[in-house]
Amino acid sequence: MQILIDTDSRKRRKAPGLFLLPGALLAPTLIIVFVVLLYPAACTIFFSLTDKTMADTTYSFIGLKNYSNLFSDPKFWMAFQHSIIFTLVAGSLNILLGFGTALLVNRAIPFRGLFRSLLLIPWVMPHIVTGLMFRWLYNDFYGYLNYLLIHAGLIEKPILFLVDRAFVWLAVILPTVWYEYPFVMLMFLAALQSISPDLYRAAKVDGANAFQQFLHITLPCLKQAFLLNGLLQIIFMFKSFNLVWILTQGGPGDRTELLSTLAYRHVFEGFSTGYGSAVATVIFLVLFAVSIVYLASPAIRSEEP
Amino acid sequence: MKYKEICLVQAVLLSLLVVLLACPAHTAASEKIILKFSYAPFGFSADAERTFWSKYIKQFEKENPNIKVNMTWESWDNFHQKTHMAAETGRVPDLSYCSPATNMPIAARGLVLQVDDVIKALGGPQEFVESNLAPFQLDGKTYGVPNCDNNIVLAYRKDILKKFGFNAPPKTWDELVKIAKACTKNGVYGLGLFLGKTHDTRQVYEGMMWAAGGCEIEKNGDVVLDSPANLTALKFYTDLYLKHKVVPPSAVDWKYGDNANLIGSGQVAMTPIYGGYGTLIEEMFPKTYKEIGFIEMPSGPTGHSGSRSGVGAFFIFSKAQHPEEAKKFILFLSEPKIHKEWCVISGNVSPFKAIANDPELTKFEWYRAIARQSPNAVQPGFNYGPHAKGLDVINGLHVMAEPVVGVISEGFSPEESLKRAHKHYARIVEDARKK
Repeated sequence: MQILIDTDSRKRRKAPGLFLLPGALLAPTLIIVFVVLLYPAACTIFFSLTDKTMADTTYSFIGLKNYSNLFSDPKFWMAFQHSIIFTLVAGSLNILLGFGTALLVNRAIPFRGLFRSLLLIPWVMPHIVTGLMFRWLYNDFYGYLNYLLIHAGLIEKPILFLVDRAFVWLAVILPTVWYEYPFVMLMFLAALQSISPDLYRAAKVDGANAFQQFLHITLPCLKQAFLLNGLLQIIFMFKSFNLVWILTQGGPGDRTELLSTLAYRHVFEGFSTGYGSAVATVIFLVLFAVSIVYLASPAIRSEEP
Repeated sequence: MKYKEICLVQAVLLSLLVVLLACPAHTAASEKIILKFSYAPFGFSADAERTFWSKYIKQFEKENPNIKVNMTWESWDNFHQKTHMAAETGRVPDLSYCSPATNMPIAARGLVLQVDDVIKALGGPQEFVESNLAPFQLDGKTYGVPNCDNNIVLAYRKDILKKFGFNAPPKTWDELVKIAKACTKNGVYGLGLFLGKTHDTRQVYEGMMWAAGGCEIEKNGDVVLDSPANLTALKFYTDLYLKHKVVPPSAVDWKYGDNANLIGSGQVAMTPIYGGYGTLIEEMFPKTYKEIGFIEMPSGPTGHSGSRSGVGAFFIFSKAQHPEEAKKFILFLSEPKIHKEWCVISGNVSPFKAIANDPELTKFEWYRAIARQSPNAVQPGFNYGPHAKGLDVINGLHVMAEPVVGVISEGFSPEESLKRAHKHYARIVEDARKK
């Protein structure tokens, strides 16, 4: 066997053209990844070390000054704290709701296909539609939510969902979960369908009830799905921008300012490319660290062939 | 297919591509001069504007068969950055249309063409309303040909005011409070006033600062945001919400255009708004439009009112490839007949004295209000001028809304809030001057 492999590799070395075709086929993808991912990411990190502004081509290298300014800026720490809380709350709710609905639509219920399709609708809607829809729902003059609450006798005057400090986070997290949980549901559904029915049949024969089956078969088999969804939710929620920007633009005041909205504000509204890039780099580093932890975790490694 | 054949086909295709890209396109159209015109909408109705520009570009091209106008519609979201970046890199269109806050900083760096010859061809500076021309002048030279003027005026519901016994809109700050308080009843609020970190908030506040005798940057370059006059304006602004309670609480979260919806639907009795919005409100609320009046902003402690100017002008980049053709296009669009039509469809006032008071234009209430407001409408930078360094960052970050937001949403006293905003403003100006 060893001899055969060696012979084969010698043949390959003799025909370098065999590598050119796969290389040529992969090239467009590699070029796209470089152009739209690696190059911009490298630029962001580079600009974070400069005093570059949006409307000026000249700039100078200032080392870590943007970072030292950033770390002494209370608004940065506030946005950081908001991003962590938002990630934990919205991410957890997405996983809980996604998992719950996946269990539900995995059962043999009437119109299962229809329900699955309906539940996916929020996920296929563009952010701008979701954001504006919720802005209208929350409106104090003509919003349907306030109308319902008043007519149900639950409140006397409209709630200012996007203004009132007690409600604004709820008002931001609700549409985020509404938009995001169907994706989690899909992931869990795929994982649930990959569990062999034989395991449940054998458990039944052994006398396991539904809860025991869930605890000892379903949950362990979904470990990978939970890990993957957990990581993706941390990534998606931590860099979440669109819905928050459409709904509140980080307001009222800085009440819902996230790192992503702070970065956008500095780069595109304040034209401070350098400073804003430093915020974006912090987001990147945090998510990179999370990804490394995930990839290095024993649970993932143990699943590798 | 064998590997050699694949390589051969790829090589042939690549060669063809190179040949196609390298060949100059010798078509009939390319023999024409292409005049590149970059434009962010200055009107309020996109449909009306598109029809106007399409019609008159065609006419200009017909009269000048050697010129083709290539107009690019820009988004306001990145127009300022794009314009500045183009000027810096030299990859510029020939012609653009903007406010002084966009072209004067680059004019100060020598990147905009002086257009005094065009001004002269249009009759000279004396033919222009002074407050429209002055923002485009620096050191005695002119860098923009004014083509429209707009500013924030007070829109009011005649029917609501009448219902509460007021036959005329407010002329002073005291009257504004009195009428707004009287009209705040049964879910209707007296005044629609932006309170969030938006350009509407900062622009209305800047107008009030001017009415109170305040300023942002003095002629000598000193930042004077924390002045007693600006504090008076801030207290007046925030009291309308906190003390008099005449502003809807949701105004903290209002976005551009929300006040137009509410004045149109009769849920606020008055609101400061760009006068040109009148044309759009007429489209949006045809039934109630006759009940909506427009008047200049009420006067403050100085005895005069204050507003934020939205004057617009054509300007030519220094590195424009076809500056003479650009000038020809400006002169064409400044012809009285075309210009009057432009004013009506775009909701703007004419900067030409000879046209500004034309009865065909002054018959519109919004038009009269803007024209009367013009002398008391300020530019960013106030006394120093719109070319002041750092103003793009200040405007982009809505620093001038910070005093209001600090009081309304962050719980600071007006004094504290103004001091914080002053520090922020001064730091940005200082950093920009150092660069």
